[in-house]
Amino acid sequence: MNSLREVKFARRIYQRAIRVYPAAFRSEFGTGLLDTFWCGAEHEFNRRGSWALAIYLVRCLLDIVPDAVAAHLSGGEALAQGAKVRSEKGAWLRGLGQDAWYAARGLRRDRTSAGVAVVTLALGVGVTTSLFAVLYAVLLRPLAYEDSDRLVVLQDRSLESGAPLRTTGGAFLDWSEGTRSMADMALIGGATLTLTDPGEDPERVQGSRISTGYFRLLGIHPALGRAFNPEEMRGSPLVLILSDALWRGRYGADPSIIGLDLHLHRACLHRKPTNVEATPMRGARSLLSCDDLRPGQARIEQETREDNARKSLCNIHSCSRPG
Amino acid sequence: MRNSHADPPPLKPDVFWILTALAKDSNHGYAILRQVEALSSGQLVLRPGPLYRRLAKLLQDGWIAEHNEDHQEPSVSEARRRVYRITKRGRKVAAAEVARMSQAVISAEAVGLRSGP
Repeated sequence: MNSLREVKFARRIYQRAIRVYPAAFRSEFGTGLLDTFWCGAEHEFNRRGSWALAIYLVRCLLDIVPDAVAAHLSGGEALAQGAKVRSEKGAWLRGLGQDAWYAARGLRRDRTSAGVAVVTLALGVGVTTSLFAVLYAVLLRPLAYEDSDRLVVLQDRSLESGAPLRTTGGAFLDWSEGTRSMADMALIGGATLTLTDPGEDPERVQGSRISTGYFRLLGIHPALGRAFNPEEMRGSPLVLILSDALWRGRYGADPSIIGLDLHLHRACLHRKPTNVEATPMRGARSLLSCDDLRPGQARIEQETREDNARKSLCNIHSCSRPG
Repeated sequence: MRNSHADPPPLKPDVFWILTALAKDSNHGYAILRQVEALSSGQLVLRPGPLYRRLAKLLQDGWIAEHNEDHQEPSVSEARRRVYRITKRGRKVAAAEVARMSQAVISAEAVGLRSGP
């Protein structure tokens, strides 16, 4: 038997003996144990022969018994795990540091590549930021209304083609009375109007006709004055709420405008000029789906009369019940 | 008695010698054994089992850490060996133990106890 075979034999015995250590400890340090034993055994054999190797093996085996018991008692799993976690954490940090240092040296050596990398990075950040800004504005940002996650738009659809149909005011009244799944329901329809105040240039504005509960449903309130009341649903006088933009642009943000008569010509219905009350409405542009607004234009919201509602074409906004 | 609340407790001999063996260079398990034996003038002879249980505890405490010797291009047999190095915390603990032992020597000599005949 040559020296290598004797040392291998001793190592096999030791390998079986270390099975008494906790499994996690063996998994973490088993290779190191065997490697260290191998080196020690080889050293002893080369120095003093087979007897020295045998004595070394016996001493190592005798060490194992109390040592394994102590390892079990001290929580071999936790011991090995703690050592492993610390070791991996340190290796990760060292690897990161080496990568950063290598990258810095490379960029310093090749200025052209560094410039290209910086420009590419800047473009990437810019494009990503712009894309996210658009996605946020279109998809992620909640509407600026109370309980906006409960707001829905009701709309008729063709049974044959599935195409959306313009909903009538009559449908609004029917749905309002018949549905139980909606906490509240309001109606809005478009209107083109012309302001013809004496001494002022006529101004054509896009407005909307809404039902009384529209502001209540969205949880918004006029910055000045008041919202429509139920009596105004049925008769004169015709009452207006001005958008914040129109109030500032045409009337110079004059707070005394509340209660004044405005001359209004509703182009779409060929009405004669009408005297109305006016109330500035802050944020009304965003209230009334400002998608179709062009710079310089403003809106007027006008209450829809109940008798006209049945004939009008409009959209219905409603709020589902909680839960 | 400890001088202050922040002082680390006295170290066990094997812990002290392992930290001392790693103070100058990082080493793998068997080299630590040999270094401990040499530094302690043969007074402490560690074997693989106790060594690795102690190394596991020192790793857990953060007094030593694994050291990746990429720059040395180890041979195939050495590549699987784990090399350990002392951490700043481990060095601080070992230094505190050295200071404690130095103070003990000074105090003992002051009352007439001396090493040797």
